[in-house]
Amino acid sequence: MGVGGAVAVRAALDRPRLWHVTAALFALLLCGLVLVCSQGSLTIIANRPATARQAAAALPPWEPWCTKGTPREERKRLTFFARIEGRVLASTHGPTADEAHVAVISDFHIVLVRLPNWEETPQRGAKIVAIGPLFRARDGQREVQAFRFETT
Amino acid sequence: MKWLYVTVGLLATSVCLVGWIYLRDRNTSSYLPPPLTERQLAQIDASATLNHLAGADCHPDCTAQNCWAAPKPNTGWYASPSKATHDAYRSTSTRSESVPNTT
Repeated sequence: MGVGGAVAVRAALDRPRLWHVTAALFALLLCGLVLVCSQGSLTIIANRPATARQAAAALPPWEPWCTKGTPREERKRLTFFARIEGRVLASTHGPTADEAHVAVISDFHIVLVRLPNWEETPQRGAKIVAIGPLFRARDGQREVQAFRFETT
Repeated sequence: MKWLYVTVGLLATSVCLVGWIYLRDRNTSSYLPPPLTERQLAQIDASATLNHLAGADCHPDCTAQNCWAAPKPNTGWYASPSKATHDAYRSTSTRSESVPNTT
């Protein structure tokens, strides 16, 4: 590209009002992203407490749900338990017939949640709370097998 | 031009934020392929059945009654297909092969 071409490109891009507007729009987009991604919380209990006294002293009130179900054995378990509170990004039935999963954004994390009731999935944007053991999902993301699941 | 750079910077920041959130907890070292669907399982089952029917282990003494009435111990339903079924499959495959190619 010669000097004339560079000048032409520069002239075409020299639209201060247009870039003002686009900069404002992208600033809004970034703020919206940060706002959405920062919502919710992800609490992880890495290991099962050694003693009952230790459990009573250190664990949160939702800890009783940790033993309310049977963890699946065909997946790599990452932590003893986790509680996630966040917004639903997407939901799907499958991959097998009696499974349903939702992808949740929470505290700058994306976590999959395997629902205890596969017949109903929450809508996109719904705020949910899920409690269960944390596994590595097929696709590499982290997945909570929800023993307790509620839409708030 | 300054606002153009600001726009590009904001866009790049947004993309980086989304990419970082998507990738930060991801670990694909233990990736598993998706499970087989009912359709795929049925297709594998049908292929195995046809392979057994057309295979070399079709014993001439095997009849439809003693092969398909009940599986023999430790053999399963498709262990030794009948001669009649074998012949029926052969004739079917011959017919399908004799269909002229119209393309």
